[in-house]
Amino acid sequence: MNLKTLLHQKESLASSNSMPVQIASVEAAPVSELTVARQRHFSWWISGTLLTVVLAWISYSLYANPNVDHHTIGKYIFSHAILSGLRTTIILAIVAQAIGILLGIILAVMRLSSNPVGRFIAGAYIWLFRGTPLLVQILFWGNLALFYRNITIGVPGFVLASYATKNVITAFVASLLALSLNEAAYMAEIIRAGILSVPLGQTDAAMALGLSKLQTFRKVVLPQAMPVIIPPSGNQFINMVKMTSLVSVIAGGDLLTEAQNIAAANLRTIELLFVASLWYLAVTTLATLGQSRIERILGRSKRGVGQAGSPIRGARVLGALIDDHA
Amino acid sequence: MAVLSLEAVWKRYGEHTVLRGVSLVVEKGEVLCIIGPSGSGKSTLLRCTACLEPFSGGIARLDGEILGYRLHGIKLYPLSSRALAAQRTEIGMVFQHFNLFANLSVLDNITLAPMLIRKLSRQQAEQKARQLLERVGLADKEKSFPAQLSGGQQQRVAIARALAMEPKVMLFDEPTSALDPELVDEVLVVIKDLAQEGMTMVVVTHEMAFAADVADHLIFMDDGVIVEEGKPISLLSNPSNERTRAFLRRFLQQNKAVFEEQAARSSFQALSPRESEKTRLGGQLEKATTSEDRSSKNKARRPVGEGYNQDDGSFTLGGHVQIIQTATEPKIQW
Ligand SMILES: Nc1ncnc2c1ncn2[C@@H]1O[C@H](COP(=O)(O)OP(=O)(O)O)[C@@H](O)[C@H]1O
Ligand SMILES: [Mg+2]
Repeated sequence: MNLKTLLHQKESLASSNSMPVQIASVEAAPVSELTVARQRHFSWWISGTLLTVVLAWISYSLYANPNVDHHTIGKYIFSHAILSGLRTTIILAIVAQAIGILLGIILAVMRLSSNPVGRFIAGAYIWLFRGTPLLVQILFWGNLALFYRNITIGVPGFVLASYATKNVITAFVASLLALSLNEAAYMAEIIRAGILSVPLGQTDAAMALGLSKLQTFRKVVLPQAMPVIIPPSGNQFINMVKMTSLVSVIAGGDLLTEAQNIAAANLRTIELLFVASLWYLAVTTLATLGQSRIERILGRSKRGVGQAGSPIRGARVLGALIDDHA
Repeated sequence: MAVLSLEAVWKRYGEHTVLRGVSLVVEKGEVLCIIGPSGSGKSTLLRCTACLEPFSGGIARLDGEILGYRLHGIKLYPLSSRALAAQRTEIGMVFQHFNLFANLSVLDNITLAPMLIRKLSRQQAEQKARQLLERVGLADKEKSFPAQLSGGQQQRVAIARALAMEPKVMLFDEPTSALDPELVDEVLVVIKDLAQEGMTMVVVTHEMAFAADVADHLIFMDDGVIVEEGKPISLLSNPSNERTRAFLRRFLQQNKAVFEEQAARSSFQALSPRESEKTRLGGQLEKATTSEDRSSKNKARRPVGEGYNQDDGSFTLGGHVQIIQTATEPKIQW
């Protein structure tokens, strides 16, 4: 099409805007009939094919490995001992996480309080429990009886009650203590960040209405800190499920402890590690599903642009959608 | 009787002294407006009065009761946080940035404190909240969340929230400064309505026309002291202090464009709200204007526009707002 036609079109646009179809007919078809061709994502196809091949090869090599007895896996995966270990693992994870959250809230509030003693205690606690390996902490609690033979309630010279440490701090209690006290230090930092994300004006407004500090915290600050606290807490829980396996060093009775016990007897170490891994995967998969569900619910109440976890938002942040029109 | 009185109130942040002996009295049903450059301590004054900050010296009284302290002999003892919270319930505070509770619906924002503190049942609290929402023209928004409302709407909810506690005095900290210009009037109309119903108020504002119309007293603050105080019209049109003059001059110049735009829209015509405003506020103004007529004080009928002569440095409100300085000052117009 030449310049003259274009100019003519412009003129006709200027003179009469009652016939827009004429303008589009400059091209092959009227605007109303134009369609957008689907963009082809060759890179998606290539990477997909590669991935399939690699996965198939790894699966086959595992399956065909003569050193792995698949029958043993099938035999033990629903066995009584393994299921009881699984139950202990789930209970440990949930209870330790719950205690960790409650203690974490208290520590976070102490850390943010105007009371210097409170700030110091919380700071020292977090320093200690984040600064030492969880495995070491578990060993300490598991061997508490070595340096405190008895646990005594009372004042020096007057004993209210005294118990043998090994009777009170069983392997399960030691595991629970170690996991929850360690978790509290991490939760305290997550909750502190959540609390700090709430604008100061919210507290001002609540206090100005005459709400007490506790009412302000429960009704205004904490609910608004939740969207910041929950996503990392979900990660913490998924981690917690896996960290419970560390308590096998003090025979905590968890999934890995049970698997190792069986393996010690039948020497099928690899098979029983597979059994344990399959269950860990199952539990963490469920936890991940729960997490994304909660995040979706939170995202809904925020009514913002794109939810935190959605692929659309992720791609948009990276600028991918701007190129791709996907 | 004085509802609120401050005597020689000082406030320091560390080395930095923000308030240096501020004294003022607000009578029942009176409206006190405060103007002054930013950083002069206006917000701090309100926050101290609302018991959100302890002050470093002086005494504040609400209905004769000392705020924040208990007097024993000649010593003042800080109140427990519980007693302090009880005092805060008697003082309504409206913030520049609204500060509505983002996690609560409009209705829950208003009912929260009455239910927690005044121990109203949910039903009683909601009934009252709906009346207040009606009063600020937002009856249809009770289920909305703050983020879904415009700034003007949020500020009106914030006013309703403060009123729900039936405070003895309302404090407003630049209630319209964070608003887009076209949303300012809907908030000012609500505040003016309150004034006409006899609410005792302290309003920090930069809306001079509004201050001139609604205030019984106007205070000019600078650098932590009250520089000048008086009737709004005389203070605005004929300030006796050089600092006041300088502030007004600077303020008028800086905001020239805004005022011109406002004048073009013939905006806050405090003396006689226009038809368009009535419709925009969905009938709320109807109420405002009629209550104005009922008002015993009838202060809205103060003949601001007519009573002041432009030739001898006067103050005019109306279609084109005008403040003209005294003869010694260069004349500023917009
Ligand atoms: N929490 C605080 N800590 C230290 N200085 C403050 C604090 N709040 C306000 N100030 C200072 O007090 C002065 C007055 O502030 P403000 O009362 O907000 O003034 P205005 O509201 O008149 O603009 C400013 O110099 C400000 O920096
Ligand atoms: Mg301020």
